[in-house]
Order: sequence, then C-alpha cells, then structure tokens
Amino acid sequence: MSRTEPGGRRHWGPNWLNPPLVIGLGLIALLAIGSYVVPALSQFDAEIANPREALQPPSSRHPFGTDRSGLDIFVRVFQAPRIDLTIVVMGVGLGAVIGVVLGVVTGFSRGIPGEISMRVADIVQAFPLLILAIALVSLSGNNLTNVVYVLAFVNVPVFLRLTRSRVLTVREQRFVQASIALGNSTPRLVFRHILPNSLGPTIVQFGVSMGYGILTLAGLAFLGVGVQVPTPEWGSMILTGASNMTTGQWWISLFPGLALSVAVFAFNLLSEGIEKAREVGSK
Amino acid sequence: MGGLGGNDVGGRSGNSCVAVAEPRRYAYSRGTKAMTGRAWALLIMRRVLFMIPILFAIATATFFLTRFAGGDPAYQIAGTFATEESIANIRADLGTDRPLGVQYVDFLGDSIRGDLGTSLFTDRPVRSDLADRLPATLELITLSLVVAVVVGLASGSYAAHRRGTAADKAVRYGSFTALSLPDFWLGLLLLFVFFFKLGWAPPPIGQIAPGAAAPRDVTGAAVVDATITLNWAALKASLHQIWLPLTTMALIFSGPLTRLARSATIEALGSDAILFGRACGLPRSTLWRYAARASLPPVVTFVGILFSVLLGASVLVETVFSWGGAAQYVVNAIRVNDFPAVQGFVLVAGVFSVVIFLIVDLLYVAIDPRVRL
Repeated sequence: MSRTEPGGRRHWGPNWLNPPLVIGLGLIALLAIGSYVVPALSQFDAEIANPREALQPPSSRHPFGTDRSGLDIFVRVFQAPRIDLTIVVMGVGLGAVIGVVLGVVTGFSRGIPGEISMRVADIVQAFPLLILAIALVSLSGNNLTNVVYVLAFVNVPVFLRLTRSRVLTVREQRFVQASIALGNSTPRLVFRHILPNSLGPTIVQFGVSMGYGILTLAGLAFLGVGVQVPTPEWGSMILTGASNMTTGQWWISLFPGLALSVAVFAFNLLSEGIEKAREVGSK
Repeated sequence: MGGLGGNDVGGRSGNSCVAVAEPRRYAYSRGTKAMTGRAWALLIMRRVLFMIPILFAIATATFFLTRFAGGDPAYQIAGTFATEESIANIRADLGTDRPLGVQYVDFLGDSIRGDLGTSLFTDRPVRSDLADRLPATLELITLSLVVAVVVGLASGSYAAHRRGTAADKAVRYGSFTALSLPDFWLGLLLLFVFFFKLGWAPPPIGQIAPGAAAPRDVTGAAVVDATITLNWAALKASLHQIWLPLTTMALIFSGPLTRLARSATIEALGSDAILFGRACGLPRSTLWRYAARASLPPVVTFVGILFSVLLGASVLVETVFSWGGAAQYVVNAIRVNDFPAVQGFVLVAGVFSVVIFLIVDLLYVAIDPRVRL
C-alpha cells in the first residue's frame, strides 16, 4: 500500500518496476499489437472460409492448422484480441467507473443511500453471475453492446464495495479533516484528497476483473451467447473445435485456449505487479 | 483457567503453552464463553429470521430482472409471423396481460408455496425439472470443491511452512497458472488426453453411461444413489463417469484455494500465539495444527463464495461433459425463451447462496469462538 498524503501525491515504493508488472504489461501489449500486425502480414483472411483446406493439422502453411470450414487458426487466434480485449476493457471499465463514482458518493455521504446501495450490491452478488450474464445477454438481444453492459453490470458491485470501504477509511484521516477545516470545497476535497488516496485497491482489482471478464466473455461465446462465428474470438473458436477433441483434431481448440490463458495470465500478473509496486519499504 | 500468568508458564508448561498458542483455548481463557446448545439454537433462529427480508428482496430482484431484461416473451414464443390475436392469446395463457403489480404479487405468493410455474418447453412444473437436475450439479461441484479444498489446504500450508524454497516456488507458479485457465478448455484437453489418447476416461456422455450399471434413482445424484443403495457396480460405473469433470474443476479451483491457504498460513505462523508456542518448545506438528486452524476462516468464506458462484458457473464444464445438471438445463431454457424456468432457477440459486452464506457464518462461530454474530 502506498503512503497517503495530502494532495494525493503518491510515493511509489522501490518495487515500482517489478518483473510481474513488466511481463504482464508486455504480454498485453504483444497481444494488442499482434492483433493488427499478424492479420496484415498473413495471406489468409480470418473470416473467409476455404472448405478445400478444412481440418488440416498444423503445417508450415497453417502453423496452427485449420478448422472444419478451412479457416486458418493462426490468423484467427492473433486477431481475436481486437474483440476480446476491446469488449472486456469497455465493459469492465464502464463497471469500474460507475462503481467508483457510486462508492465515493455513498462512502462520502454515508447514511441511507450507502446502506441501500450496499444491500442492492449484496442481492446482485447473491445470484449466479454467469447465468445472470447469459440470461441478460440473450434475453435483451444477442449482440456485443449488451455483452459490454452485462460485464459492466456484474462489475459495479465489486468496485462499489471496494471503493466505498476505502473512502470510509480515508475520510476519517487527519489530512482530510484538516482539509475540511481549511474550508476546501467538497469537489476539491473529493478529487484532490479522497479519490487519489482511495483508488489503490481499485486499480489492483481492475487487473483481476479484466482477467475474469475475458474468461466470462469466452465462456459466454462457448455457450453460443454473445460473439458469433465467424468473428474471431477465443471462446467461440474453442466451441468450434469442441466436438473435434474427442475425435483427435486437438489443434482447433488448443491454440485459442492457450491464447486465452495467456491473456488472463497477463492481467493477473499485471494486477500482482501493481500490488507489488504499491508496497512501501519491503525488500 | 490460567492465562498468561508468569508462574504456570514454568510450572505446568505444556498446558499453559497450549492455552496460549491454540486459538480456541486462548479465547476461552480470556473469558469467552463456549457456545452451548441453547446459544446455538438462539443464534440459528435469529439468523433464519434475518433471512426473510433478504429472501423477499431476492424474489423481487428475480421478478424484475427477468421481466425487464426479457421484454415480452409472447413475441418470442409466437415467432416472426405472429398475428395480434395469437400474441394476445399467448399473453393471456402466460398471464402477462395482467398489470405488473398483480403479476408480482402472484409470483411472490406462488414462490412462497414453492410453486415455480410450468416450463414452457418441457411442460412440466419447473420445480420437478429442477429437482431432477439439481442433485447432479450439486454432486459435481461439492465433490470437486472437497478435492480442491484438500489439495489447496495441503499444498498451501506446505508451501507456507517451506517459504522461499523451490517447493514453495513450484506451488506458487502452479496455483497462479491454474487461476488463469478456462475450465471448459481444460476439460476438453483432459478429454483429448484421457479419453481419445489413453482411453482411461469414458466419452463425455453424462452421469451414467448407457448400458452400464445404473443406481436406483433416489436423489438423482449417481454417486450418492449408488452409495446409499450399496450398489457397488453402479458406484464403480458412476465414479468412472465423474472422475474427469471432477478433476477438471478441482484443478482449477485448487489454484485460488492454495494461494489463500498459503497467505493465511504465513500470517498465522507469524502471529504472536504461534511464536509463543514455538518459544515454549511445543512440537512442530502441534504448531502446524494450530496454524492450519487459524488459517481456516478465510478459506471457509472463499469456499462459500465459490459454492454459490459454481452453481451457475458449472454450466461450462457440464456442457463439455454433457452432464445434464441444473445449470445446463437453465442455459437451454434461456435459449428457447422458457422464462418460468429461468426465473425459477435464478430464484432457487439466489436462495441457495443465502443459505450457503448462513452456513459460512455459523461455521465461523464454530471455528473461532470470539466471533459473535
């Protein structure tokens, strides 16, 4: 945890450039850049089927092989982050912004609104998230915008809870009291003092939520909800090859799943790295 | 009972060391009263009463979520070429032509009586549909969690006691990787290796293989049924079916459990109580036991959360192995716009989580006598 101080200036610890942070960020950057570079360099299109080259095992022509409709898996695996990362960044980002705003408001003003928002969060979290997500997406129209909203919806309670509990602690600290005594306006108090000192755990949580969001998006697509074939997306690619796994064509599901795991791994690393970077004085 | 009194540390060393280092005994020695049967009964009664408004809120949320997200199910059921009349007929059939308030009160009344409506797809009461399929899901997630907890606690506390060694590193990397794997993909990989390549596992065709010895249907959970009817052939057959999906889920969830057990044990080992026990020269195995006990509360909480999350999340693994449980049922129901079935499942799952959290709270009291609810 970083030291807190009036004005929200943060003293990063000696670990600010640690291996998990660098490797995590590096992997995410590679996935993002690769999603544009690899398709540009490849001779195959990610969405144009070629039945004459269906179900080919990995070769020098198709490094990851092809699926039942002859789509080149290599290009598709690399192009997938365009959808996967974009949707999850937007969904989790939206959820985080709403959650943080609600958390600051209810934590700062306390009282009844805070209690109500916490009970609502309790109830939303009592439901099985994946089923809720599937129901909301497919009942409200099976398109990508709704997937973004659903990812936001399930993440709001997480960020609300986290931010609120931080704000409740920070607002009792002496520099905040001093700032009130000096006659600072409420917006200045919130934006200059409380918010910067409350965001630490939120940023760490963002990485974890991103990883979980990618898994959720892929899980939805695996059930045929959200992203549809032939749009390159890891979950729906795993679905395409699922029945081939029991007949021996392992490459169709293996590579998209590997890429999916690497992406989730990268965000988990990133969040661990941020947590390490914020530690003060250890090591 | 002796507390930290100077005399008895020297005199009856064993006992007083234990009294300080063992969390429960220490709490009792500090004046915490042990829970009597009466205290337990009162506590449980109070908590169950407390559940009523929460259950009410969950039913309300279920009703409005499925109504507002879903739009008008009549349009979806009638299809693209429906006439105004056929839509009105379907609405009257479903009861959705009545005012929302009336429907809501009706829904609450039915839910209290345990009537979850009739499935539009199977034409059977949603309650019996769920009763047929929930046991299969519950059996799979419970057994997976039991295995995951045993593996997680064992490897997590082992790594904590060997902190910084190669073994610790291996456990940490392993659990971190498990955290990042999609369970449905791992299930497919295991199927490829153990069914297609090695032939050790059966094909993914659900709880009971056709033609194999099937247990008498008592609960609907094959392993449980085979065990309580003492049908060993069926037990062997059902274990053969379950081991691969079980391994898939246990592998994934032992990851976070291992990390949690490791950090909780490290914290416990650094506590004053364990330090004092070590200074007294209590045997290593005793200290391990105390540290394990002190690391239990966060693990119990997490298992509770996992349990309620898994009730829905198990749909992915269920789909891979055609398990035919409740999660798979509700996803199919969503596909065919069977809204009574979706509503029923969401309600049951919500109630289930509340009950799980009640049990977690009670376990807390049992583990740590200082906790008062």
